[in-house]
Amino acid sequence: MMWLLDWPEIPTLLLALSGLCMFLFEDRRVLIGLLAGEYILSFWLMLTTIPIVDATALLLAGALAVVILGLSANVFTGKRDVRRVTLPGTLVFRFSAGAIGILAAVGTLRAEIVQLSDLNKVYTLGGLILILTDFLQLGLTTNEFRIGMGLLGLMTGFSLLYTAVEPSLAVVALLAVVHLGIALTVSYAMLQSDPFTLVKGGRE
Amino acid sequence: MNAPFVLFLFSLIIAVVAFSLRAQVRWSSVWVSLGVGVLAGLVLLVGFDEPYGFLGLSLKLPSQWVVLGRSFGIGGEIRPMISYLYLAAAFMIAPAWIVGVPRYFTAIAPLMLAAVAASLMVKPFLFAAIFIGLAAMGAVLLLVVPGTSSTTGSMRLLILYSLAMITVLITGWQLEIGGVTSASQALAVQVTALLAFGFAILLAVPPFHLWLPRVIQESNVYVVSFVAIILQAAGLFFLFRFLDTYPWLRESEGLFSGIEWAGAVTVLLATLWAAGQRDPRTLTAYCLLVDLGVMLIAIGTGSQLGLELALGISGARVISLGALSLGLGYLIRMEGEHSWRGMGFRRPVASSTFLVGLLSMTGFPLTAGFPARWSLLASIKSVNPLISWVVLLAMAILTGVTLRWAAFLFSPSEDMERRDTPLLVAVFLYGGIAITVLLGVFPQTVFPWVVETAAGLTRLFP
Repeated sequence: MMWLLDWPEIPTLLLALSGLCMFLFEDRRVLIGLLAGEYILSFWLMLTTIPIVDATALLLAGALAVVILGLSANVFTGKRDVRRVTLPGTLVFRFSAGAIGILAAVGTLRAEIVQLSDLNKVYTLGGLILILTDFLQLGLTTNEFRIGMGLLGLMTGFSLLYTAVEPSLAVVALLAVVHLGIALTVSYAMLQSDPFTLVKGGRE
Repeated sequence: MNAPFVLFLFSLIIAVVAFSLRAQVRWSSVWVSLGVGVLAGLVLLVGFDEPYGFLGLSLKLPSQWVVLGRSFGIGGEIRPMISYLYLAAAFMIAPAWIVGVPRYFTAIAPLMLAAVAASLMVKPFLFAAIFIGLAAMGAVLLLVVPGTSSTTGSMRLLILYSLAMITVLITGWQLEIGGVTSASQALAVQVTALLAFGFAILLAVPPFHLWLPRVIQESNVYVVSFVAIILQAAGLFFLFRFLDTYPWLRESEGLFSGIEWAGAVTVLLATLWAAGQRDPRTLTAYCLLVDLGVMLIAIGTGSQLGLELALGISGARVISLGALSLGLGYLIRMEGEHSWRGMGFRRPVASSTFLVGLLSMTGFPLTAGFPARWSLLASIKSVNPLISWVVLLAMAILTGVTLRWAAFLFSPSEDMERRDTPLLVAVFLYGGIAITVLLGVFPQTVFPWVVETAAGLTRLFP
C-alpha cells in the first residue's frame, strides 16, 4: 500500500473533484459523504508529511465531526423534510463558482508567501483547493449545515498545510479539538433553529 | 498539580455546578460570579513557584504545565490580564439573571473564560489564536437562542473567528519558521497585511463587524455584550503580545498610522450608522463599534500613553456596556421589543440605566467613558488634529442620538402606567448608574489598575 504515497496527484485530483461536487449536490447525505471523503483524502496526503499516528488522530477527529454533523442533519431532517440544501444560483453558476475556487488555488500556488513552505506543490495544491473552494462556499450561504460543511472543509485544508509546516503532536491535538468544536457548535445551532421558520423564510 | 491546571479545573467545576443550577438562573449567576471573582483574586495574589503556608500546610504551585510538548504558563506578565478578564466576567455575570439570559449562559461562560485564559497562557503564544477560536465557538453556543428563526449573526461570528485563527497561525508560522523580519521587506509587508486582516476580524474593524449588529438582534443583548467584552479584550491582549514580541512589527513603517486611520474610519462609519438606527439594540452595536474605533486610535498613536489609554477604554467599556445592556436587556425582557415610546414612564429606572450607559459609551462628561477619551483627545490634538475632530464629532453626534432616545423614551404614550421594579433588580440597575457616574468622577480609583494589566509586557511598556 505504500506505493499510494508516491502518488499525491490522485488524492489532490479527487479533492478538486470533491470540492466541485460540494457546489453541485444538494442532498445532505451526499454532502456528508463528500466531507467524509475529503477527510480520507487529506489523511492520504498527510501520510506523506507527518507520522501515521498524528494523521490518524486528525482522521478520527474528522470522522467524529462528520458523524456529529450527519446525526444532527438527520434529526433536523426528521423535524421536517428539508433534505436539500441549495446554494444560490443555477447549476451553471455553482459549477463556475467551484471551478473558480480550484483555479484560484492553482494561481495561489505561485504566491511568494506559499512558496516559503518548501512543501510538495501537489500536496500544497490539495490543501489550497480545500481552503479556497470551501471559503467560496461559506460566502454563498447562510444555511447552518452548509456553513458547517464549509468550515470543516476549510479547516481540513488548513490542517493539511499547517501540520506539514508545524509538525507536532500539540498542533495535531489542538486542530482536532477545533474540528470537533466546529462540528458541535454548528450542530447545536442547527438543532436550536426552528426549521418551520427556515422554510417560511425561504432560506432552504 | 500546577497553576494552569488548577485554573482550568476550577473553571470546569464552576461550570459544572452552574449547569446543575441551570433551572435557577439567579443562584447560578451568583455562584459563577463569586467563583470567577475568587479565581481572579487568586490568579493575581497567590505566589507561584514558591512555597507558602495554607492551613498549616506548606504548598508550592508550579506556574508551568507541560502538555504534549507545549506548555501553559501563568507568568507574571499575564497574571493581571487573566485576573482582569475574570473580574470583568464576574462583574457582568452577577446581574445576568435580571435580563433573562439563556439558562446555559452561566455554565458556558466559565468555559469560554478558560479558553481565553488558555490563549494567554499557551506557549508559544501564537497558538493563542486557536484558543480564541475555541472561545468564539463557546460564544456561539451562548448566542444561539433555542427556537430562533435565524442564526446568521452567530454563524458569521464563527466563520470570521475561524478565518482570523487561520490567518494568525499562518502569520505566526511565517514569523517563527519562515524567519520573516523587517530585513525581508516584501515578505514583511505581506505578513503585516495578513496580520492586519486577522486582527481586523478579532477587533471587529469594518467590514468585519458584520456579525455584531445582526447577532444583537437575534440574541440576548446582555449576552452579546458579555461576548463582545471578553472576545475584544482577548483580541487586544493578543495584539499587545504580538507587538511586544516582534520589535520589527513595532518599528514597521505605517503600521501604527494604519491602525490609527482604521480606528478613525471605524469611528466615523459607526457613528453615521448609529445615528440612523431606530432599534436600540443595533444602536448599542454601533456605539460599541465607535468605542472599538476610539480604542484603535489610541493604539495607533504608538505611544505608551496611547496603549495605556486603549486599556483604559477597554476597562471603561465593561462598566458602560454593562450598564447599557443591563437596562436595555431588562426593558426588552419586561416590555418586548416594539413599544419604546413612553417606556421611561413605565420603567424609569431601567430606562435611565440604559441612557446613562449609552451616554458613557459616547464618552459624555461625568461618565466612565469620558476620562480616557478626554486624555486621548488631549494627546492627539496637536499630532493629528483631523482624527481628534473625528472623535469629538462622534461624541457630539452620539450625545445627540442619546438625547433623542431620551426624549423618545420619555415622550407621552397611551400606556404610561408605572410598573413596579423588584427591589433587588432596582439595586442592580441603580448600581449600574452609580458605578458609571462614580468612575466618571473618580477615574483614578480603577483606571491605574486597569492600565497596569499589560505592564508585564516590558518591551511595549518599558
